[in-house]
Amino acid sequence: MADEMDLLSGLKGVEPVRPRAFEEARTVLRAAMAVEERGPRTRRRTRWGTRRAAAFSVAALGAAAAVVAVVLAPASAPSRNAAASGKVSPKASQGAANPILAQLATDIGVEPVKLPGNATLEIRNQSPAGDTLGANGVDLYTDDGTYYWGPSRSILLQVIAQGQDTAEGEFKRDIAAALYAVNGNIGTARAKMAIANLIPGTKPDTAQAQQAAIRKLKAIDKKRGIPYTPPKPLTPAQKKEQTDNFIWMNSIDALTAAPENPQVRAGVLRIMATMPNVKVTHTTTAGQPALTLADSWPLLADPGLVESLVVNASTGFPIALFNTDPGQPLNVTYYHTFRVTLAAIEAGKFPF
Amino acid sequence: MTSDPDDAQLIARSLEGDEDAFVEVVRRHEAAVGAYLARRAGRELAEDLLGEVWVAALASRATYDRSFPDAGPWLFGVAHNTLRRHWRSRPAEEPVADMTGMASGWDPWTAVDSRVDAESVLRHALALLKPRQREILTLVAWEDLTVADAGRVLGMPPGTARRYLHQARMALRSAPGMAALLADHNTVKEAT
Repeated sequence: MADEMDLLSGLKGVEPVRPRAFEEARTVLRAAMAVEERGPRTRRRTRWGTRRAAAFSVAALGAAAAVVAVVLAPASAPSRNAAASGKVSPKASQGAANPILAQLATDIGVEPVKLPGNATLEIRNQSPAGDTLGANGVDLYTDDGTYYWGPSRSILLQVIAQGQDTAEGEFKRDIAAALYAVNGNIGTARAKMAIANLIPGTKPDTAQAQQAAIRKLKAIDKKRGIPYTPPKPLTPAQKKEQTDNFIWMNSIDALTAAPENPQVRAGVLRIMATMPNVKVTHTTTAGQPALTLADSWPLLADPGLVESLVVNASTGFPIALFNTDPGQPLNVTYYHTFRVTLAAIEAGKFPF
Repeated sequence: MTSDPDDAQLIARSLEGDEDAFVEVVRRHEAAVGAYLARRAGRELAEDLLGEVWVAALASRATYDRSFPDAGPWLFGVAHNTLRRHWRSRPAEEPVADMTGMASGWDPWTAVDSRVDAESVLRHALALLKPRQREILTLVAWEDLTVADAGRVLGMPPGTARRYLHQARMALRSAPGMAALLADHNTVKEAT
């Protein structure tokens, strides 16, 4: 027997707030924090909502130890003379590229490969070997870059049925930038990758995003009747590092959205070979020879933060991602992927 | 095995200068707070106000009662106050007027032929409630809060919140059209 509360629950549904609005709101928050005399921030991996949910545990710590335990030899120093970013110009970044990443990109090859299925199902968890569904839920990327996410199989099916790209095209742009990098001008590829997370026409660059956030902060302070205190502007070097952080983030997104596509892997590696702070180390991870690419942004507000991407040493296939930040728990994510067809998933046929 | 820090711990860290800790709190609750705003003000305005909610929460986090590990109700409260400020700044518009536009553009009733009538009856009934009754009722029905947490959002003791909820349910049940709507609904359920 339904009662008035049941009827009321029927009105619970709502047109959801769009992912970019969450990011914009956090930008406003970050700007407000900057007013509190703090420095500029890196864009953290948990970019919007649950997709990048961090999982901290002793198990994760052990898993990360496994990632870094077998360090065979330092493979390269960071290519400091490679162009940093900032306003990325097509002429930039033509200098010395990391030879190991550049070679791997070449070895992967640039010929299109016919893949089985038409989508990649991905589980991110804290286990190097198991593909158990965890707190990060399940991702589905179609080959054109459409992205669906759900905390469980059943909710993923509901999200797919709604037909909405959870990422609003972000992965399509990430993948397009990576594909461009395979044969295109590397400076242009970096410029494309730096803004791939932004919806075209909404926020063409970081300065505009900051200006929009500042306008909003001014309006908020005006409402409260308190004087507005502007945040400190970024130095040119900080701007370069911030853009570099965006390129790093979006490149990893491209790689994890289309890991089975060798062209995407080659393009991402070619871009990462130009990253000025990236250090590459030979490791063994989850039983396979690997390269650990570690990036950091010492001029930004988390100078101790190091984010490391682990890829297969022969294929560039993503294996894991982990962060080390002084005073913070280690955050480790392993990737487990399956090639599937969208139709099979829609029919509830999951490979795990 | 260590566990994730709770919201109260993250807020404490943020007060010690760890900005990411507060952003993590925001990430945990942004979907729920965004939905809360959208249900009451529509998506466009919700998106516009969300940043304002976080800035207000940042500014007032020192007053957060850290005996509560879950900051959700507190953030709902900040969102509630942000909405009230917004409505106050718009002369000649009452919060009740906004209730008619709640959840626009989204259709949770696709299986019900008479949804327009049903929604109309419900929205009208909601609009007749006293603001605090309506807020407690919708916090419980839509945001899945306990009555005690709903009271926390509005800064009232659990007993008071329970009384408001009871009054709201009684008023809703006796609102024009509700009896017929409930009878129709239960008839349809029995038939299916």
